[in-house]
Amino acid sequence: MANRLDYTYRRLVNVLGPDRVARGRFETFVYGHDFAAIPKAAELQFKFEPDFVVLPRTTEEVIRLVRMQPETLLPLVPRGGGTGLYGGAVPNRGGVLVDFRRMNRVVRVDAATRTMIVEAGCTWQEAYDRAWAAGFFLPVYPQFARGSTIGGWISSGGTGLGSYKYGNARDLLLNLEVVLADGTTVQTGSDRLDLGTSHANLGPLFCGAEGTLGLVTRATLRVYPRPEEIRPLAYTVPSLDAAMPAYRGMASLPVVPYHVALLGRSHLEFVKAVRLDAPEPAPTVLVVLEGTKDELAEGEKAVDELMKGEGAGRLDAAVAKALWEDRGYLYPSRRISQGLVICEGIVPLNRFADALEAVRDLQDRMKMEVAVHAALVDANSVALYPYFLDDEGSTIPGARLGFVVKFRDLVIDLGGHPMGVGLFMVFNVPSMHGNASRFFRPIKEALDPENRINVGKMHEIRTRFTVPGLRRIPLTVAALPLRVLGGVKRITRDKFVRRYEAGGRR
Amino acid sequence: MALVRDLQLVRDATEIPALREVVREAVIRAMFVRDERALPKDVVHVLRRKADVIVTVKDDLEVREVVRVANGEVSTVALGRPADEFHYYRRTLGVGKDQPWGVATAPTLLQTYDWIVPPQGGILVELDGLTDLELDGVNYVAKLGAGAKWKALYDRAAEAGMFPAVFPSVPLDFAVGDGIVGDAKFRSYRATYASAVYDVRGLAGNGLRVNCGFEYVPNVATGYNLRDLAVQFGAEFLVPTVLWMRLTARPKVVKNLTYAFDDAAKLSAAVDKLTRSGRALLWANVSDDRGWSLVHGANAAGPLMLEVGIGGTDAALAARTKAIEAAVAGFTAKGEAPLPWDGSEQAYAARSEKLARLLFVGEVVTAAKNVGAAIDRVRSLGESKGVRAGVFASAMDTGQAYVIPYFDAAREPLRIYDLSRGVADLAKGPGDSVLDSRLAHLWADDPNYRRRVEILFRLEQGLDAANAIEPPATLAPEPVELFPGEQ
Repeated sequence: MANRLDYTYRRLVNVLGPDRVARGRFETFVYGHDFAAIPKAAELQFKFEPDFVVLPRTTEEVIRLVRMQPETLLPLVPRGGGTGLYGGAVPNRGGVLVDFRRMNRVVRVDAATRTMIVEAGCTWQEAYDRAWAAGFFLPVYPQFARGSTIGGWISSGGTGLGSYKYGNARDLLLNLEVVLADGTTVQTGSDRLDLGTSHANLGPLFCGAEGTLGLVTRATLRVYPRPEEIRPLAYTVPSLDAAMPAYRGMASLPVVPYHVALLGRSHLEFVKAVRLDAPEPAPTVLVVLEGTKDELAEGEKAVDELMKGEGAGRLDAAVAKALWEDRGYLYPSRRISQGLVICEGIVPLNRFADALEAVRDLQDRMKMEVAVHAALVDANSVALYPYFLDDEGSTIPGARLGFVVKFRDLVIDLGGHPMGVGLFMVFNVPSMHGNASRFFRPIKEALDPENRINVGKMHEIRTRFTVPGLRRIPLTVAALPLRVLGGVKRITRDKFVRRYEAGGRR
Repeated sequence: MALVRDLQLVRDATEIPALREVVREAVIRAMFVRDERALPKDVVHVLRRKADVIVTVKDDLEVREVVRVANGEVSTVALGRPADEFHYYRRTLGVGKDQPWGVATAPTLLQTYDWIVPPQGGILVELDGLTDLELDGVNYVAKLGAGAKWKALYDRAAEAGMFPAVFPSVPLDFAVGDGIVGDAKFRSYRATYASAVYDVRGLAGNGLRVNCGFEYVPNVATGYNLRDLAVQFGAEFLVPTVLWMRLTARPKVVKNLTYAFDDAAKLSAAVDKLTRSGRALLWANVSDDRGWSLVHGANAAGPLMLEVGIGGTDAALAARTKAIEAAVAGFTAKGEAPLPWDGSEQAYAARSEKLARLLFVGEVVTAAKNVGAAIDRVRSLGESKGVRAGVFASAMDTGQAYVIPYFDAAREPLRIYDLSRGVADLAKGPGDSVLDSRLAHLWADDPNYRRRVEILFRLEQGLDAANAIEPPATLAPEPVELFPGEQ
């Protein structure tokens, strides 16, 4: 084994040079995590730490890495900013982790076609800034835009800021350059036009595939003319669920809001705990408008009327501006704990109140401190983001993760779906998709029949073992340990935030 | 939809490498116009096949029964198949797996022309019976049978103070499922058909009912993107039966502003500027005077007409109208027209029938700034071919426009081929353009497209392992008669 790894190391160095291949304990340890809070016990089942970390700079280098795989037999795991929440970019049995952050160029912003071409490792913030500087607007981006990469977020297929008006990442996508498992590349669409559903456009197939079908190396995105103004408006409401008619009313406004964020009292309490300048905790609705100045004036008036009808009080423009500017720093409370766990799920808007109630109920039963914020995804649905602080060194490690499993279940029960699959939440796939989940394996086999790229995820959970019987965790029992630990969690009560506040903010 | 079937036959029929480039176009042409003298017998055999049974289904259960017959779970004897094509054993023994015999789905209305390769025997499912329509006014979602008419959705939504999220680019009487199994193009200024469909339910080749999406919420980050796969290629691997479509609130006041242009260049500039303005519009459609009069039943105010849909309150719309007028400067006349989709179902269907007599060959996807050039080229093409030509077009906030040429010509294969070829050539002209039509795919032997199609073939084989949905045509060589005349 050692010889094989040494040989692989030499081959990788031949391709990329010694500066862009790492096998040291520290580097591999760092890459054995993403944003997911992983209990130590999980290391018994999975080998999270890659054998090698490589940082390619060009598509050609990525192709050579893929073509080398049949020699090394080590699976390739693509990784962007590592901001995923469920282990999608974390190895399950070691292998070669391909960090795309050196492929971070904005190739060009094309004013004539209103497109921009960016490499997969470029962050959304960088892409946004470059488009803005060129007179354009990249309207949809993830909340972790500073760290999340183009390839990473497209592969996660997520919804983000601006989705209410502009859709999700898939709706911005014209073309992807993808290195497939056989070492060839495919252009999924066109760099100059959105092919939509014509010309066998394969772009949507790679959205949400979490890097299991190929290595995305470049993307062509739609950009829009820069708006004359982006205007955030903030309102306090009696409670988030009480303002339901207002959320419904957003759909019939003459100006479509750009983004609608719903910040629960608990969320602002968490923020206030570590930032004295944060707004006073109260259920808050942030409505962001963008467009021409005359339409914004019309929109602002309409939003004001709508929100006042629900007993909302408008907050000062400076507060609204601060809330909007902090859109990329939603979790400052992270620093008072060893870990942060964020859950994500979409529910129909008419079940939003039920979802909030169920989350509160779950929180009480599990004696946890959970904060909630949400964002409208479109006129009919809302994305919920309950989150809590965690401590991997606590007496019952991983117990709080029972909340994640239960939250995902309740979202499905309410007619919605959880977001993200990764390595740890694969067991949700059959319950989310029903019979259609049977399509997952053929899709993987059609594009990666030899299981070379990001293996053992999406339709199965492969462990670190190669012995039959231990090789995979059956999906039916995969969640069981977390459910049991979740039950145990009811014994102890969380006090992260209260303890921090009582001890005086440091 | 039978993209895979067409492409596979073209690939098989033109696979001799040395001749590929030489014969490719000639073979495609011969196949399309059914020139049997120029085709090998096996290809002729494939092109002559017809569906054995045509069924009109009423619900999912009936479709399931049909699929189970095709995949071998149920005997086919009732359909009168001969013993050697008796598919009862298909699943258990793998016998007949390669037989081109399965279920194909027919659209309710085709805008352009049929596929090259007809269904290869088997069962043709017609969706006309799947017309259920349930409007969920609370959730802004409609549940529709795949054969339910879009116009019925429009009318029901209007009663409830809503709009469908997308409109047909040419106001033909399409069913909502025609966007999947046919070539209907639906869009609005902001939304595409794919983004308007939350969920597609259908029967897969294994006889199971599958939901490729979520009924009341968009499909986001749930693993492989089955919703988009179903909207785009759904008819290749399932029989779609039910769709859940997003609705939007209908503004208090809706206006269809019209602007007449006498010059295509000015129209181009106007549409381009409009899509750069950041204005909240409902639609931005273009038609020539003839197209306009066919749709609106009145004379157009100019040779080219731009329709812009806006919504809001009366007071706000006045200001917005002024801003739009400034953006589309260059028009010769302005006015307001009724919405093209209003009126009774019967009147809409009658108009659709008139429109459907025109010959459509596909749609040119181009940049908004190229709309005028595309219109000019379509007219020139019409003149050179001796037929009257015109266009319908729609623009989106992305700056992209979709120009749909039409010709006053009979739907005769040679004519279709010729005009389609002409439009494909002109789509190469203005730059940043492609033709979205079936034949264009076959002509443009683009390596990227070929690569994508290879992947599509593999996907289709995986998703329909039973080979029961839209099975490909196989070219079986004629057996050589060693002793002619002997028994």
